[in-house]
Amino acid sequence: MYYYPVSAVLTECLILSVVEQQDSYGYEISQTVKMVAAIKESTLYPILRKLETGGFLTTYSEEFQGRKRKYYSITEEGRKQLEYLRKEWKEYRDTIDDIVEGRLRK
Amino acid sequence: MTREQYMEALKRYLRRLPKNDYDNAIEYFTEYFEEAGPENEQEVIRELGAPREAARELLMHLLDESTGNSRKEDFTDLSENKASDKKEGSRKYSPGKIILLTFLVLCASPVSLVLLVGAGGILAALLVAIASVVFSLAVTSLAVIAGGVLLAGAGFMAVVESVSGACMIVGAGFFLAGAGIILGVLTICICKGCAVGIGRLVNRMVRKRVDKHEKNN
Repeated sequence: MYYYPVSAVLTECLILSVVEQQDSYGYEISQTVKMVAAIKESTLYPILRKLETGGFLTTYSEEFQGRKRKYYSITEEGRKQLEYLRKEWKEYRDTIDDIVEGRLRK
Repeated sequence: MTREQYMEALKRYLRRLPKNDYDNAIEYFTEYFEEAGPENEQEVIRELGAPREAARELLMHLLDESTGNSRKEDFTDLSENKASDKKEGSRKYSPGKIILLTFLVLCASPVSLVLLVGAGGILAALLVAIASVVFSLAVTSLAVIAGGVLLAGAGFMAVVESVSGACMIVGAGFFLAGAGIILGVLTICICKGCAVGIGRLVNRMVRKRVDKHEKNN
């Protein structure tokens, strides 16, 4: 696990990115996010729920090996939000890189 | 602990959530267990943490969202995206729901918070006790003063019977009245002292909580 914490905003960005190309379900999203974030289900679930109630994600249920699986899919609004979060992230990342690598100072 | 026991415990803590929120959360965690598979059951339980803690965190995040406390800015930042702002408003929780969630968080909180609420109750009881003591002291001093004055009056009446006797009775009356006045002054002092003391106590308690809060943030 990484030493640096992952913020809630970045977690939102990660979740939206996971479902951008292809619908996904809770466990898969969770496992992907957990590759970089030491996040608990009790924190991740409310973020996922918030994205759903905020209209950035929609859900539908599908049978999988005899049980129900809830799939999350991105909405048009979710794509807009992701675009914004991505832009923000890139600027943030680049600025950090510049400072960390000694190119930038005030 | 088995998966069933874990889910039972979690359900107990989340039971009072509005049905929709409750169903969604339980469905999510049930599905999570299923996806992880029976062989990872213990691993998942360990990862989720104690049911009480997990429930508390869930409720806290839901509450954060409903009071608009948390990272609300991530959505509202999107000023060009007015539609999302509107949605934001429509899913704000009602005051009733916020109170309910606060109560639930309190129920699932570690003992210290519950103790704090208990301390509030004790403080209230203490206030009532002090108020009743002060009240009884005040009544007593008034009664003693009145008794003394009456006795002194009776003493003056008795002057025709016996001068020395009358002097004694009047003296006793003045003594009583004096004692009553002293008691009254004492009562006022006690009253003031208690008020200042309790004020300081509450002040300190609140400041401690606030300090803790600020440290956490």
